[in-house]
Amino acid sequence: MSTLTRDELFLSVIEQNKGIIYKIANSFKKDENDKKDLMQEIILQLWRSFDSYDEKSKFSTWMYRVALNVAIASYRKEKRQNEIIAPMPESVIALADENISTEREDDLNLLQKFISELKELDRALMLLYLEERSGKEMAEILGLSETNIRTKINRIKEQLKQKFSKINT
Amino acid sequence: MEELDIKQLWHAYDLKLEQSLSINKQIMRELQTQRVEDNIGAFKRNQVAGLVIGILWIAVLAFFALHAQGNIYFAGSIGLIAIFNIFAVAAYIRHLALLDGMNITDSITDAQQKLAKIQTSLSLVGRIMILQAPLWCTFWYNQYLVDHAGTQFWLINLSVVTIFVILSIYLFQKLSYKNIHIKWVKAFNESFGGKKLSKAMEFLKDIEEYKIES
Repeated sequence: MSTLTRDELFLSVIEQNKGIIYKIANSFKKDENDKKDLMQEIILQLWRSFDSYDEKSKFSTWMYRVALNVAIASYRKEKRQNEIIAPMPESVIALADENISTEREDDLNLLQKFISELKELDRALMLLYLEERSGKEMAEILGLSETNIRTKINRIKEQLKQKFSKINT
Repeated sequence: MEELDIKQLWHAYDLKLEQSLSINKQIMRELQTQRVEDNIGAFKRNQVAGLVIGILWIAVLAFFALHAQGNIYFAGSIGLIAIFNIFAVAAYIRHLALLDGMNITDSITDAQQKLAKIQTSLSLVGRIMILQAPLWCTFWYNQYLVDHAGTQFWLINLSVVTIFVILSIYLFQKLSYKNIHIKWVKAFNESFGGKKLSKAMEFLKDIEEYKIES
């Protein structure tokens, strides 16, 4: 693989998966600068391990593993990790329209608030569930059995249901 | 809200994001060419430095133990302290090996467990070091003292040593990440290795519990 091809291939991979990276950063960081740093670090780690992808597992499995591992590890760091990578003035992935809104903005805010209140591993699981990953893939990404995944998802869904019903009553 | 509603809501959000998100290609190019400081590499260098200091300290202790000039109390105490330090260095080596096996593309529970174990390695070394505390109460004994010191002296001294033995074994067992839910254990670890250490210990416990099917 020539350098140019590799660079271009990586860029197209990020282009196709920019939404996932954005959503993961959004779920693990509140501060805008922290989100920007996390997206940068996720892309950097994806780039650095790009060659290690061996096609034994699905590409999305590999990508979720790297992105979520970086996000969970960074979540436990207390300060911005600017000393690790030079901070960029702008965000690598940005919203063209900052005032993006969906028709059900309140519900979405509530859902995001619920996700952000979950523990790190449950948060990763919830994101994978919402991204409609199969039980097998979720098990592979998290390193758990499918039965365990199902049990945990049911528990989270029940919590979510209760939260929404509390607000609606 | 039902399951289907939640998924539809997320899907709508997804669609909006896809339309609105853009990649800054200039930053992408910079990221692809940036020479970065390897975070794990820096951590590894610190561990290797710790290892060298540990080995040097063991060499100093071994030297004193071997040149005790017939004082078995001194040689025995310092020798045992050296053995505890060998265990501490072995813990360091084990974690260096763990660091070598660290792979960001591993499954999340495996990678995070390894990372948390590496971050809590300081705690294990600290706990091993605590075990040697009673020996610092005995290294100054000598044959003359044993032959001539009175009952009161030995009562006081052996009581102090016994208290240290009990306390150090109790602390060694209690200060594990498995007990991080206990307030004073958390506070002790925070004072020893900062909040980062207690957070890593809590997370390690969380991962182990998370892996258990419930």
